[in-house]
Amino acid sequence: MIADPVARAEHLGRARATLFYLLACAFVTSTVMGVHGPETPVRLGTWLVLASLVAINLTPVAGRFQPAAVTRLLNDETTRFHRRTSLAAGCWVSTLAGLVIAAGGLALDASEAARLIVMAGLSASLICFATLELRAANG
Amino acid sequence: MTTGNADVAERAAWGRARAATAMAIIFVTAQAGSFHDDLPLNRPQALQLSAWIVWAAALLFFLVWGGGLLRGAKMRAVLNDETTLDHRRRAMVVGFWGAIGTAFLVFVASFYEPITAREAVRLVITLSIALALMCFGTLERRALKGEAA
Repeated sequence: MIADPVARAEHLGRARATLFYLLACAFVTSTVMGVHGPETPVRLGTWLVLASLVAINLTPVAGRFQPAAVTRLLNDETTRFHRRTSLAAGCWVSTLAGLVIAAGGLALDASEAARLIVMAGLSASLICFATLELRAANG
Repeated sequence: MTTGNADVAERAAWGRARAATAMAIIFVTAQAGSFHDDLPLNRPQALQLSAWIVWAAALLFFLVWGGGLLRGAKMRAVLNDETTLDHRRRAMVVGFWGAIGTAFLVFVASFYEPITAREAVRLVITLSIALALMCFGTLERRALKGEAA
């Protein structure tokens, strides 16, 4: 256990960035497999839970379970800026994905289209946030 | 920058803020009347879809580059200062959560209502862009009022 709040926040920040990359990979895999596979209630429910968890991770709520000093450092001005930038990037990617789906005439139903838009937006935000955070941590 | 130029920039900023809100309302209203159940993609439908894509792209262009495009570099710099860039980013964040929230609702609703993929995408993107424009317009107006006070 790291006692110094600054060192602990730095360690957790890097861990969060790595986790976000893994989460993005898992979420993309889960969505693509779900869209191509059979739509069972369990599979759809699992996707909904996973997507909700990913979305919660992109909010400041996720870092609230640490001591106050560490939470403050994990959500400092730079991190808030990175979060806004990554969510803006997610907005672009989800909008572009939607426009491609609408224009492309892909054989999808509404549920699949919605899942692909959510996947594009959330995974782009996760990757963008993790990249910005790691770049800042590495100076 | 001279007082005359500052006045022109302020007027343009007010115009942009009002236009953002008005365009959001018009976009949503126009789309609300054109949602149908499963219609085949015939010629009028394809035309309507193309018009929606062009409209959505134009609104995104306005959101990101709107303000002083034809007014010269100095005016562009004044109209797109640090505060406006921050408002733009915040507006896109609101648009993002709007898109994700609407997509979740569409995902759940698709099990109870017959919705096509095209209609689902139109709903998600329309609300996302409209929310972003509304947010941008509100933030800009609030900032301009604060400056004027």
